[in-house]
Amino acid sequence: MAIASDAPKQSFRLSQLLYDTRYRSTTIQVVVLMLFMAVAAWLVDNTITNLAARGKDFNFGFLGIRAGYDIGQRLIAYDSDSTHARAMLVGLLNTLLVAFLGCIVATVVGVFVGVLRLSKNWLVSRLMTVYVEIFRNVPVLLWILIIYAVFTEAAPLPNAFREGGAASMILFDTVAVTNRYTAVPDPLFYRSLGNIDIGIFLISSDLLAIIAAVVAGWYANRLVLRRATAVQNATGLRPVTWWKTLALLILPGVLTLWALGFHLGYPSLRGFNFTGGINVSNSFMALWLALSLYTGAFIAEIVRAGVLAVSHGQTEAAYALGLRPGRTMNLVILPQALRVIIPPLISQFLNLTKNSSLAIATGYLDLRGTLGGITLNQTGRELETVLLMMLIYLVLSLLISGAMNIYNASVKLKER
Amino acid sequence: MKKSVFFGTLATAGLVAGFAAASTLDDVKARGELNCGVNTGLVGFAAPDANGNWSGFDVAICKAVAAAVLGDPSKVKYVPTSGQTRFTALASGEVDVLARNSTWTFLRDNDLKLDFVGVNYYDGQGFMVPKALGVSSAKELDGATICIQTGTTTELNLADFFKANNMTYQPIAIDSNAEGEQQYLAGACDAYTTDASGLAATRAAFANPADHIILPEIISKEPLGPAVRHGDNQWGDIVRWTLNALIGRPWPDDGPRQPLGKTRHSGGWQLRRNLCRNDR
Repeated sequence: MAIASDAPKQSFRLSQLLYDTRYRSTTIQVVVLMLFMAVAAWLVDNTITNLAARGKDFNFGFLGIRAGYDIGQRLIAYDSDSTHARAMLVGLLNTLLVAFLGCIVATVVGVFVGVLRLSKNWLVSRLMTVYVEIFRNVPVLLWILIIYAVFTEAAPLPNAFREGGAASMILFDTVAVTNRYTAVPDPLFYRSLGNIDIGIFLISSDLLAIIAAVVAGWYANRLVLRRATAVQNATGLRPVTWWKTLALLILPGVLTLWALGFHLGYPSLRGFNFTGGINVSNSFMALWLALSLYTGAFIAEIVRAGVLAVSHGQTEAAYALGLRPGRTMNLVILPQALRVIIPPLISQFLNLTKNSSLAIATGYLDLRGTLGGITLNQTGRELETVLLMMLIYLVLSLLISGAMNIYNASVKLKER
Repeated sequence: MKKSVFFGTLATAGLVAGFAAASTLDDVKARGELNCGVNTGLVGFAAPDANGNWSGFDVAICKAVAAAVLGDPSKVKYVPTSGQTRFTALASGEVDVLARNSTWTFLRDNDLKLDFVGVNYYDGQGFMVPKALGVSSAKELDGATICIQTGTTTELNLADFFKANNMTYQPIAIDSNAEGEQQYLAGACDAYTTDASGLAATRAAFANPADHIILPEIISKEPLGPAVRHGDNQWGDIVRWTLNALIGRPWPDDGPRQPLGKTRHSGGWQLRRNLCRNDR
């Protein structure tokens, strides 16, 4: 050791960059970085040159001009006089809607199926196996097309719902499944609070009030449960809380609805189509169902793997302590399974969100349909629209990933 | 050393290839084949038959340009394009000429950097509805669901027409004429709208054409014509005068053909004479 440190001091030579292990890795990294930047620069330069050769420039001014086309499903005010930027926003909200609802249904389906697949009932577990294997082994695009085809070919025309027609509405004459859309009742309020204008679009105050009430009830319920646990830890007896929980979870929402004068507007056939309710288009339904069931099959496997990852000894230990199967699942198995389940679940949510761009197959106008479809085509700004679309999907995915990572941090194994 | 020379050559070749789209005429001649962008299938304009032979109004332009440039009308590669992909296909050089019943508009000519060389069909947008619907005018379509091909001018006309008449409608976006036909027949929409010529061609292919009517309103003017990339005037002139010659006189079915530039006055071939004569 001493000899090595006493080695004669040499002045730095260029060959050391390659032959001296102290510098070699840095040299390689610098070279790779330079190569990468050269390739990137060449790509950018090539693009600019070719754009110039075609007489095209690169600017996003097209977002401010009149769009001129209509969009079937819009969550915010939009008509053909609106700008392309607003059309993009309408598309983005449609993407978010189907991704959000899809993630919820996929999770519910996935957890149910994943747990049921472990059931001791032979028939149930085999049925779930069949579901999982069929759905995850057929491309999701085919599922979208098949479900869409079933809706458009098998459901009756709106015309068939007329007096004396072949079809009739279901669920006490409130819902009509047609080959174009499913007409469902519209939630209305006698004493509506109006809308809040946040500059870009309007937000329903009624919806905000209901969400606030439900969240408040949920939070109060958590306090009640925490207090029950504290009492249990102190005295050994857990106070009865089920009726408080039930009341806190249900009453705030119901009371708010009653205060706002909630009632339903029922759809009825007028002219060509149903009016008075909400017409949920088949393209949306097909996309939503297909994405949910497809991703649900993957989530089921993730849940099953997570549950199986908890050693059987844990279950037996819980039983030995006298815990019933339900409590064993809730208190022992699931908390340990969750930390295995969450990380792959994140990538399933990301997959679902990105797969929603397959909406193009059913004509559902999501971000890909408005910005990357009609706007691209009417303005001829391929590069700008596609780059913008990629950026939006990237930000969306990173946001989902970030949110789920925060949740993951809260359930993962705490090392003290 | 040899490797770096190889990569250097490769990179240079890539750079050169990037800028080498100088003359479409030279490209076509070198290739020995004309890439012609056509409709994916619209009887009368461009549609393949059971044997894969294309025929129609737009196909005739492809054949004529191939005959004028290469001396053989069969040396055409037909590239089916949808309403969404057609202009990108032309701009990127995937096709040399776009003969796909496309409307000549200010925006396309200027913003999309295309040159429309002329008009081969004056069309207008119309509506088709089933007779059983009992509709006799487009103004009675308030509240209807309407199938519309995306990426077309008809999409914009439809929005304007309904807005101008204070009516509402539910658009169903479709990608091709075949999909529109299928959706319309399945009853997914009350009316199908596109150029009146396209409606007539589509209806003619129905099992019961008499069960459907095309409404009298024509809500737009659609001058359809072939388009080329902006900037290559030589190529634009060739396609323009091929079109003009076709309009002047029907294309002969057979007869000897020679490549452009070799003078040939005999044979009563209007195109050749039009192209070669420069005294008037």
